[in-house]
Amino acid sequence: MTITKTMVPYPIMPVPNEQTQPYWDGTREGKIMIQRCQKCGFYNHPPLYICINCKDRDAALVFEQVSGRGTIYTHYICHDNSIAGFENKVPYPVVIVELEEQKGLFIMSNLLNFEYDAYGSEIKPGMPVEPVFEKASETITVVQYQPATQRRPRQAAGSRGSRK
Amino acid sequence: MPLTWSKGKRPVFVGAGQTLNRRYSGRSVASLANEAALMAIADAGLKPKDIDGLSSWPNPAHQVARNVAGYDRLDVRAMMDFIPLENVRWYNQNEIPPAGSAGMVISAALALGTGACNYALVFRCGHHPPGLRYQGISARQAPGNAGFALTYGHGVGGAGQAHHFQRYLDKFGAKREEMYTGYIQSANHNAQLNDSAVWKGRTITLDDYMNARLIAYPMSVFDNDMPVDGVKCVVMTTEDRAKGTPHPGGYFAGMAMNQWQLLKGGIIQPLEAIYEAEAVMAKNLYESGGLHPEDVDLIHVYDGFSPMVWNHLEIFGFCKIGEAHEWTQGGTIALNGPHPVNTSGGNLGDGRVHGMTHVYETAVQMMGTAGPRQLKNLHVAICETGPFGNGSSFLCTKD
Repeated sequence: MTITKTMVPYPIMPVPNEQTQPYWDGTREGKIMIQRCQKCGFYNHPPLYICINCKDRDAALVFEQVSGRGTIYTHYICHDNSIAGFENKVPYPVVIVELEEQKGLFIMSNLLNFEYDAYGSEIKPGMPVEPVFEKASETITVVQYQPATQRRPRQAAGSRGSRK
Repeated sequence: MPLTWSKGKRPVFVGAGQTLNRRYSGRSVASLANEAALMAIADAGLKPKDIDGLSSWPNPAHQVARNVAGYDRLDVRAMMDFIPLENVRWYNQNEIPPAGSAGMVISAALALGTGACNYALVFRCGHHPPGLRYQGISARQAPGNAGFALTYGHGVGGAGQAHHFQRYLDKFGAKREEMYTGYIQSANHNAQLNDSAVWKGRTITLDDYMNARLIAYPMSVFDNDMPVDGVKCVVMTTEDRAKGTPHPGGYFAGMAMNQWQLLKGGIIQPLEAIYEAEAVMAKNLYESGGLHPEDVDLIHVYDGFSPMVWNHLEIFGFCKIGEAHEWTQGGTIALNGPHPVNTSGGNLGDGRVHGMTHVYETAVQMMGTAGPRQLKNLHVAICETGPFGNGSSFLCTKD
């Protein structure tokens, strides 16, 4: 059994571009900022040039803060050491977190502060998780997830479609 | 709408040629291509001067490619140079890997049907340079959107499928050992009858599978196809011209492409979205052929990553969604079973030539030249290539 407490140091450092800079400005302040279509309200992550939901070519696409709360959609455990710099981190979990704001709005993460085996048997879909912000460099803060420590606020019934 | 062809202009396979897939063969792609193409052309009873159409997917098979034609890239110009082919009138160089190897056949079929060419050579290479970690990543930076994934150490071979497989296991209550008895075992068996196969001479037991080196759990080294050096080619022509060739077989009967617009972008495509998009591809495929899953007696579905076999058996209607892990048990998909799948061993058993394995085997089975693997009384074959969510597919018929 293993617990990953941190992924620092990060062997591969994100390099923001014009599109992704607002996301990384947000994480430095402990916020998750996701591009949102001002016409239909759909979140697009990674950010896009036209909203993939409504396709309105005039709609403003603006980064807005999300709660960061989510649940695990799926995961895998990386054992292979073919990514330089990650050799001493294997096996490490890669989880896909579905944010509570929107069905199918995913953030990739590792899973910190959770005991797992080589198969990730204990990592279950639907597991509530919360963000942790890891300072990777002077300019880059990386979003990670850990099991939720706070109860999620109750959601109104039917506010969110169930996944079939 | 069913595809329609002028009288005598239905495309059909007439020849196939391949080099034996080998790890670190020491041979250049140019040398391999020359051998496989001349073999395919001769198999069709033709000469290089007869070939007037080319359909290729030239991108190198690995991430650390030099992208040099003849070394690790096999494009149209290189093929014209290597043989040489002096009478080419039409060619297609498919730069979209997701369209995959079936996409090359589709393009060639359409060119043949319209008379843009009369004899098309369809080809793809696999290449794995010695001394290089096949899918090794040595980057120190993750620019732009890569920062949302590579930063987390996401990107080893098969990683992009591992989370789909885990989702499938969780969602449908499937077990990893079912992948052995529900696909790996039959692919391993089929590979024993295929001289090209990297798995030939190697028996993989359930113990071997369950204790294999893990890449990205739930996927192990046996769930990911093995990089190889090899070239596979098929020759296609039209029904009227095929009458003078030794063993025409597999009349092109339907086609469909991936539905990108149904995938909502994002960090990953969820399993559910890919199923919805591929269901449209499956519907388009059967409608274009006027055929149904019950008509199909030879199934080739991409297996560069093992879980895709289950995904595609469900999507193309051979069993219900979520049931392939059970349906494939007990010899259902074995060579001598009622629904043989990937009869050459697929990409897992044969090696990583990116769906061209499936195209080649579909062609030889329908032409009746599959040797020890030859199935009898084949009527309709389906061939899907390209990874889950990225594919293209065609149907072909005996008559």
